[in-house]
Amino acid sequence: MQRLIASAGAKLLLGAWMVIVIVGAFFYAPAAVTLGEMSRIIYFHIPSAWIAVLAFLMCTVYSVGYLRKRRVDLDAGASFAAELGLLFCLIATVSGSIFAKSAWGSYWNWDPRETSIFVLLLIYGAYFALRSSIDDPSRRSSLSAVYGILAFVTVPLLVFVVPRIPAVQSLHPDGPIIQAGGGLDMDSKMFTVFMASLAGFTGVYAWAFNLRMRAWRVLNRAQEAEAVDRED
Amino acid sequence: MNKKRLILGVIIIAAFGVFGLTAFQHALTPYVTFVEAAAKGGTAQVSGTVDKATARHDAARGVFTFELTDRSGTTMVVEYSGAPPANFDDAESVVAVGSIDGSSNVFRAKKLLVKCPSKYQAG
Repeated sequence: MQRLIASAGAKLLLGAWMVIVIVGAFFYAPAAVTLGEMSRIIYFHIPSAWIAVLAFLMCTVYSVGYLRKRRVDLDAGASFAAELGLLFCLIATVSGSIFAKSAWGSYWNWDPRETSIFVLLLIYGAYFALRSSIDDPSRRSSLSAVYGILAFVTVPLLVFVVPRIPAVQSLHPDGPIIQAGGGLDMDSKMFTVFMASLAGFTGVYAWAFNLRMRAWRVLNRAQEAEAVDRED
Repeated sequence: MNKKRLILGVIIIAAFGVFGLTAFQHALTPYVTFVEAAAKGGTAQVSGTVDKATARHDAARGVFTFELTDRSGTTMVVEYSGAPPANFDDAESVVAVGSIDGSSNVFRAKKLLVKCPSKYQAG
C-alpha cells in the first residue's frame, strides 16, 4: 500500500486528478442558486474539514498503536497526522471565514461553528505545545499518545454534534448534501465535482503523510548510523 | 493492556466527552433573545426570523426596518442604518448585531447577518 502511494504513477495521477477537480470546480459545476459563484468554495472548504477529521482520527489510531507496541515510527506517524490535521483545519477555518463573509455578512462573529473549529485548533495546537515541552523521547511519546486519544474525543462533538443542537442556532448549514429526509439534494454536476474533490483531498493527505514518513525514516536511519559510529 | 485499564480508559474518555458537551454548549452560542440582550446591555447578537411583510427600506433617510421574532417568541422592530443585505429576501433567519434603544424601544442594528438556505442547485 505504501509503495503504491509512493510510486511515480500514483503521484502523476493525483496531480492530474487535482487539476481536473480545480478546473471542474470553476468551469464544470454550475453556480448555486442563492449563494452564486461563491458556492464553489465548498469544493475546497468541506474536503479540508473532512481531511482535518480524518487526520485527527489517524493521529488517534497511531497513538493507540504506539501505546500498545511502543514503536517510535508510530509516534512519529501520530505527530505527522496531527500536523496535517492542523494544517487542513486551518484551511477549513480560513476558507469558512471567507465563505461566511459572502454568505452571512461577517468574516467572524463567533458563530457556534466558528467557535467550535477555533477550540479544535487550540486543542491540536496544544498537542504540539505538549510535544515540544518534554525532552525525554519515550515520555514525550507516551504522554502525546494519551493526549492524542483524549483530544479526538472532542472532534465528533465539536464537528458533528454541538453545531447541530437546535438551541445554539448556528448560521452554518447542517449539511448541504444530505437532506433531513435522507435523500441527496445536490445538483448532479456539483455532486460529481464534490465527490472527486473529496477523493482528491484524501489522496493529497495520503501523499503528504507518506512523504513525511519517508523523510522521517531516512533521517532516523542517518541518526542511528551516526550514533553507532560514535560508539565505535 | 489489561482489561481493567481498558475499561477505566473508556470511562475516562466517556466522562471527558460528557463534560465537553455540557461545558461548551452554553459558551458556544453568541446568539441571545431580546430579553437577554436587554438584561445584558451593550452590544448583543439577536437571532430570529423575519416577518418579510414588515420590511421597509426608507432610501431617503437611509434606514431599513423590519420586525424580528427571536427564539422565545418576542418580536421587536430592528432599525438598521443602511441598505438591506443583498440576500435578505432569501433569508431563513437573520442575526441583528447591535443594542436595544430603551427610549424608542427599537433594536438598533450595526450589522445584519443572514442565514440563507444552502441550495446546491444550478441557478
